[in-house]
Amino acid sequence: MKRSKQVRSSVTFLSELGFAYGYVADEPDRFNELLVAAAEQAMADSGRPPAQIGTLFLYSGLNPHAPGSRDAGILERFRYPVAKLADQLELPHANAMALSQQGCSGLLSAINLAARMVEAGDQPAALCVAGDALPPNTNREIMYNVMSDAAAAVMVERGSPRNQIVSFHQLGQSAYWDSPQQERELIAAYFPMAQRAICAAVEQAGLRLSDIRWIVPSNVSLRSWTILAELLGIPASRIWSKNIARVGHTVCCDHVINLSDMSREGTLRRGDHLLLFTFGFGASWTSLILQH
Amino acid sequence: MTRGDSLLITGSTGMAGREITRHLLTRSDGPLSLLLHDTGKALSRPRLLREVFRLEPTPALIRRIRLVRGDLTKDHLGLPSSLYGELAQTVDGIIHAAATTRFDLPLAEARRVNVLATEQLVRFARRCRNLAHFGLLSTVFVSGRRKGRILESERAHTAGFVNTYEQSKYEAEACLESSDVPYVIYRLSTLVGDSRTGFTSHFTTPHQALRVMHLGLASLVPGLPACSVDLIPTEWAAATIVNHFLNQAAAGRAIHVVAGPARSYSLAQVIDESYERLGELDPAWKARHYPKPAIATQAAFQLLVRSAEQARDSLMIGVLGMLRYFTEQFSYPKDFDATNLNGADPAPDIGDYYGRVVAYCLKTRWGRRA
Repeated sequence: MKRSKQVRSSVTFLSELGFAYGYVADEPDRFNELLVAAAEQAMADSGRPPAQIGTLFLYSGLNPHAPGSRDAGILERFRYPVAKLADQLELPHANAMALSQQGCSGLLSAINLAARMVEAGDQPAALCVAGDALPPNTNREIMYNVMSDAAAAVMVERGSPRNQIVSFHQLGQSAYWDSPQQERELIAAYFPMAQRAICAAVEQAGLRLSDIRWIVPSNVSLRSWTILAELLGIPASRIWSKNIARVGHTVCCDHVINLSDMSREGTLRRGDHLLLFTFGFGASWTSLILQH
Repeated sequence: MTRGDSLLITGSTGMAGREITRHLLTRSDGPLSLLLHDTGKALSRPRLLREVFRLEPTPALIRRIRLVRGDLTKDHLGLPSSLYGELAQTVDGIIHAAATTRFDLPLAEARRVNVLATEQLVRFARRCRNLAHFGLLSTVFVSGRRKGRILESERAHTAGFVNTYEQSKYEAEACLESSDVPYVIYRLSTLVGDSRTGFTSHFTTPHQALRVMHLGLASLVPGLPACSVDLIPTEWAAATIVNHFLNQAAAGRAIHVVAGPARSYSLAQVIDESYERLGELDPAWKARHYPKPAIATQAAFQLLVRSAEQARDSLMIGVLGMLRYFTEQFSYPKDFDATNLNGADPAPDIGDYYGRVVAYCLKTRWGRRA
């Protein structure tokens, strides 16, 4: 990756930040396949019939642009990926809509939105699908982090016995909207805002930090999590960080990938409180507390 | 000392030295020999009076000042032998305010400026026939990484130092203590400007920390939230030192020139008040909603510094480096004994004037605007 200029920093530095590996797939664009595969897996895991899915959310964090050249017909701009996905998944009653522009906070926000709709409305379930893929041979290092491509999906169901939402808290700071121009300010704001967002979510849930069994991280640099653990006064061992080196940071799919892997390795126990935290360009600092 | 005594002053263009000289010019009558090196070298006496001491250059004041161009780190203070000898015959008192107050110098360089200069001045003082007092401006942070009650009567310790400034001043004090000159050491906390106007001649680390907050680049501040941050007004410190220097009798001791915890903010309060004042004075800044920096452990802060260094992010290296040398003290809470102030007027309460300091920084854009 260093040779192909997909990362700028030294390998030593990136390793110290927790990104010990780099793997670049030599395959053609399979992004749509990834989305479909993630969504189908979530549907299969839940056992929910497609007809009961009332809403399909598709989220992408990268700033969307219409395919085709400037001269392409205006109709080209109404070629929606979320409709295509609904069609591929054969969801007969789903209201398909896309969300965007919440950076890495997007999937957590979509889950929160879906949960509120499911709780309030007449649909028993909503499917949240998210994914991002960077263009081939592009720089994958952003603000001390190495980015992967990924897709993930979550079925949000009324009365689900697993991973119940206990609290959702998002601190928005729209004054930071100009990410390229405000990179330094964002780096400076990251930790104080992260500390505030996490503490607020815990308080909103009526819990203490010591009640949180696991912090499920976004797979940004391990060093940033070590600093945040110090700020929060919690042991770094309560942050499930195994996927930072293996998976890297995937815009918004990290938490779902991590939860899935935690579940697979038997880390999670029923009743555990889990805190999912991320920062999203835009900017927002988002915490979601689940009870497993 | 009497009001008519002849004094030699070093560092008279520095942040503390210029206020001390200004007070001496208005409250005593004797001749003042100002030993200048860099900053004031090119200035005439009238310009010095007007621009540095903020006084009208009357003939009487001009006559009282003698500018001596020298170099404290050199033998004979870098002066011709005849002048060196003449000063030794006439000087009744010395105030040694010249120093480097940079925290990030290599130890050898800090020693050269702060220790070697003191050694040279002590040599000179021994030659003086009528020397009544030798006043050294120092810092309460010669106490380094010690915690708790810090007595004026004690200096020696093995706790280590946060920066080379502290260590070099510690060694300069030791040099004076082991001499036979009639010394008084004035250990100041942190000068922050004029309490009546907010004016400061030098934008030092506390002002730069405020600037970092204004730029929205303050991320972590290492320290303990309740640690007292002892800031003192320049004019109060100068008046206190001059009063003491002119009136005191006993030599061979140190005096803590501090505000004390009751008149100081805690670290958390400094941050809160800085944001409060900046917000009041600069609504456009307030609208940006920059978060206050988090008060962090040293371990967390050092990791952030390491990241900036490894990423070769020069701006963040500068910002964090400045904070690093200044704020580490806030992990070592201290309560400074001030017995030897001997009933001097207490320092103004920081809450009564901090807003003026912030306003002055904003108005002048930290010295970039006249």
